[in-house]
Amino acid sequence: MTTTHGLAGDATSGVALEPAAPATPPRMSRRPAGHGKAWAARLRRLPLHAAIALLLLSVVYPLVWLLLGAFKTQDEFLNEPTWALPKDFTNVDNFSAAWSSVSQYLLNSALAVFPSLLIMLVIGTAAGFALEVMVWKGRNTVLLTFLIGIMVPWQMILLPLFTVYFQAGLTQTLWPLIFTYTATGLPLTVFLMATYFRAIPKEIFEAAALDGASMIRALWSVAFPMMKNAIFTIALVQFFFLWNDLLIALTFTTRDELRTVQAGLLNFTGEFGVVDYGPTFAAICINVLVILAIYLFLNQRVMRGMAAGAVKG
Amino acid sequence: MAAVEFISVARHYPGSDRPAVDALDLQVADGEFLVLVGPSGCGKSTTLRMVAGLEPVDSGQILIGGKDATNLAPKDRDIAMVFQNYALYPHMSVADNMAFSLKISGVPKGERHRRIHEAARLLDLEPYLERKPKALSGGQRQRVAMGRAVVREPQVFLMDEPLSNLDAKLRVSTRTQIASLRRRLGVTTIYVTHDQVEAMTMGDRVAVFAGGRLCQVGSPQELYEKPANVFVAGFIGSPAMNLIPAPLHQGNAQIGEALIPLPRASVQAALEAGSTSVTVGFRPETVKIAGDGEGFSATVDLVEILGSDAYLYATMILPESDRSSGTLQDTAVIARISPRNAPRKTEKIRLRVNAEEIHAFSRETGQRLPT
Repeated sequence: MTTTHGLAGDATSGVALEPAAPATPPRMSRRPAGHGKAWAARLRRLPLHAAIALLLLSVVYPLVWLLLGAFKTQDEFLNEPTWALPKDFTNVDNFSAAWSSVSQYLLNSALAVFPSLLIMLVIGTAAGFALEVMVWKGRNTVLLTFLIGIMVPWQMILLPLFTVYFQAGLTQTLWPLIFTYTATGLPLTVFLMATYFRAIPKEIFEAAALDGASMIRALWSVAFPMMKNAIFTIALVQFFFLWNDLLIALTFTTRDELRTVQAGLLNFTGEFGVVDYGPTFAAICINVLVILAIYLFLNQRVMRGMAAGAVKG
Repeated sequence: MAAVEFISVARHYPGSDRPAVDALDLQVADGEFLVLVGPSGCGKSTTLRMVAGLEPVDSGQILIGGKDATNLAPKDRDIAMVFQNYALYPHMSVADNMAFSLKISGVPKGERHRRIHEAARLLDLEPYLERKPKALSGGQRQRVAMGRAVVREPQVFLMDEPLSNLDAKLRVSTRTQIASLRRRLGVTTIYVTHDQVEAMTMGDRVAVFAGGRLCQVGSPQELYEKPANVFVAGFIGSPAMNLIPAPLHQGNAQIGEALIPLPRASVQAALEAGSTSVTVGFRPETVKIAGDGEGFSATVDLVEILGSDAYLYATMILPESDRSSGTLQDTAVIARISPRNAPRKTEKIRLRVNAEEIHAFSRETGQRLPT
C-alpha cells in the first residue's frame, strides 16, 4: 500500500508541483525502478479489486435501482428499460403518496419497537447483573434457562400466543407486539449482558457494597454507567431485529391502522395483486433512511462497545 | 477505631475438601497494624473478606469494636477496604470515587468537600481530583483507593495486597507512605500480603497463615527470632532459614561431621516423643566460614555477590558412615558471608554455626522444641 501511495504522490508532484521536486531528490531518483514495481503490485491486486468491485456492485445496484424506481411513474417503471433514469427527479408524488400511509406505519413501528427495546434492556441488564454479580444458588440454572430461550424457534409459538392475546382482548392494540418483541429479544440480551458483566472485576461491586450501596444503587450508579456502551451495542442489534420483523407484526396486527412498517409495505400491493412500484419503492426508501439515520447516530457508541474489554481499561 | 476479634472462625468453600480458614482465634487491638502473611491459598484473603462481610462465616464469631459483626451487612460494619486491583469506579472522577460512600451515607456537601480535599492533600491527589481513573498511573490509582477508604473515617481499614500491582520501586515508597498514613490516622488496620518483607517492615504484629490455619502471631522480631514451627522458620527471613534433619547423639545434634549441643529440654522433649532426630534450623547470617577441624565440610555450589553481602550456596559433605547407611542425605546450606575473599565455586570449605543460634524443631510435628 505504502509503495503505491508514495509513487502516486510522486507522479502528481512531478507534473503539477515541478518547483517542489528538487526538495525531494531521493524520491525522484528511486522513481524509475519503483514505477515498474508499482504496476506489478497493481496487477497482483487486480483480482482482489475486481472481486471487491463485484461485491460492491451487487450491494449498491439494488439500492440504486430502488432509489431510481422511487422517482418513476408506474408507466415508466413497466415500459422503460430497467436501467433508464427517471424522467423527472423532482417528481416526489411517489414519496408523498407513500408518506400518507407510511407515516402511520412508522409511528406504529416506533410505538412497538422502542418500548420493547427499553423494557428488554432494563430487564436484560438487571438480569445480567443478578446472574453474574449477585451470588445465589441456582443462578447457573437460570442462565441456562435463558439460553434455552434463544433456541426456541418463535415461529412455532406464534399461534398459541395469538390465542392467548385474543382471549386477553389485546389483539386490537400494539401490546401483543411489545410483549412478543420483549420476550423474544430477552434471552439474547440477558446472555450478552451476563457475558459483559463477567468481564467486569467483581471487586468493583464489592467496593460498592462496602461503600454502602444497596443492590439497586449498585445497579443504577455503578453497573448501568459502566455498561453504557454494551447497552448501546445490544440496543442496536436488537433494534434491527425488531424493526425488520415481518412475521410477528403480520401475525398480531389485525387492522391496517396497527401495521408496522414491514407489514405495512405489503399493503402497497393493489387489490388485484398489482404492485404499485413507485410508492412501494418510495416507502422502502423512507424506511431505509430512518434506519440509516438511527444507525449513524448509534454507530460511534457501538464501535466503542465492540472494542470494550479489548484492552486493559 | 475499634478492636477486631476472631473467635473460632471457620470458612469452608463448597466443593473443597478442607476448610479455607479453620478455627481461627485472633485479636487485633484497637489502633494496631496487623499483617496477615502466608503463601497463596493459605486463607489470609478469606479471613480479610470475612471481616469485610464479603464472605460468609461458616462457624465462629467476628467482633468489631466489641459488637458481633458475624452476620452484619458490609455497609453496617464501619470498615473500609483497599483492593488489590483498586476496584475504582471507572466512570467516576477521582473526587466522585471518594465521594460515593459519603453521598450514600448522606454526608452534607460541605463536609464531603472538606473530607475529600483533606484526603487528597494527605495523598498528594489534589491535582487529579477531576480525572478519571484511566488517566492515572498505577501508583496514583492506588492512592485514590486509599483516599476512598480514608474519607469514610472508618473504624477499621482492610487492605488486600494493595501494593502487589506496583513496580518494585513504587512499592517501597508506597509502603512507607501507607505506614506513615496509618500512624497519623491511628486506625486499626488489617493488611494482607504474601510478601514477607512488607509484613516485617509494616506490621506492629504479623500473623503467619498456612493451609487455612494460623501458625504464629507476634511482633516481626519475635517471628524472626523464635519461629513457632518449621513453616514460620522457613517463611520468615530472606534467604530462608537452613532447615536440616539432624540425628541426636547424646544430647547433640549432628550436622554433617559436627556435633552441636542442644538445650537439655529440647533433647528431652524429642526423646519423650520417641524421636531419635530433630530438625535444626539456623539463619544464613549465623553461618561462618571456619578453620580446619571446626564445624562441618561442604562444597561450594554458587556464590552470589550483592555488594554489601554475598550469599554462599553449598552442599554439605556427609561422613562416609552416614552416606553408606543412608541415614542422612545431601543437604544444601545457605550462608551470608562477606563478599571479600569469598570462596570459589566447587571449592571445599568448612562452615560452623554457634550452638546458641540453633533452633530445634520436632521432626514429627514440626513444632519448636522447648529450650
